[in-house]
Amino acid sequence: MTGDKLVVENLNAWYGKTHAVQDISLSFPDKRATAIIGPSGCGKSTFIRCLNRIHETQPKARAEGKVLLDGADVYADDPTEIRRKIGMVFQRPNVFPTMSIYGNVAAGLKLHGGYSHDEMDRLVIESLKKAALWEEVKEKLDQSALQLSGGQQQRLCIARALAVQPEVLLMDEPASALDPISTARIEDLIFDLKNQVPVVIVTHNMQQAARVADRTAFLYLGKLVEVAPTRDLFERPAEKLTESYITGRFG
Amino acid sequence: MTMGGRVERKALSEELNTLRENMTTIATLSVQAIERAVAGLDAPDPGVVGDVSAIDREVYGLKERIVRNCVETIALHAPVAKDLRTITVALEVTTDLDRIGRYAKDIAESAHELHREGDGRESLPKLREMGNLTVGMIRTAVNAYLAGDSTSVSHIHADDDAVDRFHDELFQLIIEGMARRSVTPRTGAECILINRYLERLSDHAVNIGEWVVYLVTGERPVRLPRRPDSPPS
Repeated sequence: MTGDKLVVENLNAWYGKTHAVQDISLSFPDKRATAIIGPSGCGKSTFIRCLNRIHETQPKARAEGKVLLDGADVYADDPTEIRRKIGMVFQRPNVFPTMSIYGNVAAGLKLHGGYSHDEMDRLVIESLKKAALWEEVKEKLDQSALQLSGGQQQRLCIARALAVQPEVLLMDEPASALDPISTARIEDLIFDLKNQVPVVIVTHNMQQAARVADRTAFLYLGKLVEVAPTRDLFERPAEKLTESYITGRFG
Repeated sequence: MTMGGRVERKALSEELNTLRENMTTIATLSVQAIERAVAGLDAPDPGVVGDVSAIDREVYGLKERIVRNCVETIALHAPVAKDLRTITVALEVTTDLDRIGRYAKDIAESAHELHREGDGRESLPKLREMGNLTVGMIRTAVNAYLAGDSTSVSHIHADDDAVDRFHDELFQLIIEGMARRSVTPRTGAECILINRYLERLSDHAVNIGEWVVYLVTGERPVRLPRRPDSPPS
């Protein structure tokens, strides 16, 4: 049994008057991948953006409720430190265009400070290996990150997120802009990474959720409809609404 | 909460409708085959073997088509939840129905031999009684499957136990008849085979019943451990 690394209690989030996340309570166990699924606009991206306090950086955005990382209130900590502890990978790879491949991975470490040159080298190499990119870039670390393919750029972003040794990794549609081979690589990566850090992945692709996640949560209209072990949710969902959504029959 | 904008997944729905039609046909044929074969225990009927064999061939061909369609539907539509259960249960049930068709043919052939031999009449009423119970179980399980009704198979395990008791009693009766030489070895062997076929058919009815429960509820019924003296199926 693994304990809960991240616990969400009665989370609510708004954009102005829009109540995007409504009273969601959900726990994320250590060393497990949890998928968040639901139709567009159901609040799933907003939900995970509340977990590392990126949501509050949006204009007129606010959140209420509790997010506890190892029992400590995320909203009582320094937001920058929280974003290091709870890393995030976005839908489109957001590499730093003026930086080298090495520079992209080292960026977070440099911002954080306190790393020797050797330590930084070690962490960059380790992160690139964890992100399954090392073999493809080890001969060109000083070249621009922009010359990499979309799939490689996304893995570079994952390496960058891993370099600062996060305690939780959030992924918002990390493979939606990628071809099937790159998608499969990212999925393999998630499968390996979850043994090191809990992974929370938002995805529109239900087969992807089924393939990589141990647990799946279904959100609709800002509310948590159902959370269950992935096998159960896709074989015998408890809620009719979940069944309608995953079988692709709405109305 | 309701979802806006109706989506039906027409291509998948069409595949599932075709599957439902094919399953109805194969189920109907299998039940017809076993009813005809068991009725053949009553009196010589030269048409039974040919009729049941013809149905068995149809059942086999249909089973092959259903399996192929199920695999294609899984590959092309990635079904989940009830859709997935509908397909996996069809794959399982179609195998049971195919076996029912095959056993029907075997029973028809054995009954034909029995009537030709002309002895061993004392076993026939009991075999017929056991056959009626087994056919009833198959009909119940198949109707439950086609109706998606898991409640009507609640007695199927008790019926299976009754068939098992029939099997054990009949086996003893046939062996004793053979020992007394009141039946020929050929007749005794055919009776033992029919006895075994009926007992196996009852197991297939139980399988179908259990798959209906899974189809409807998503839960597989907990099976009792196999009896130590029971041969592997």
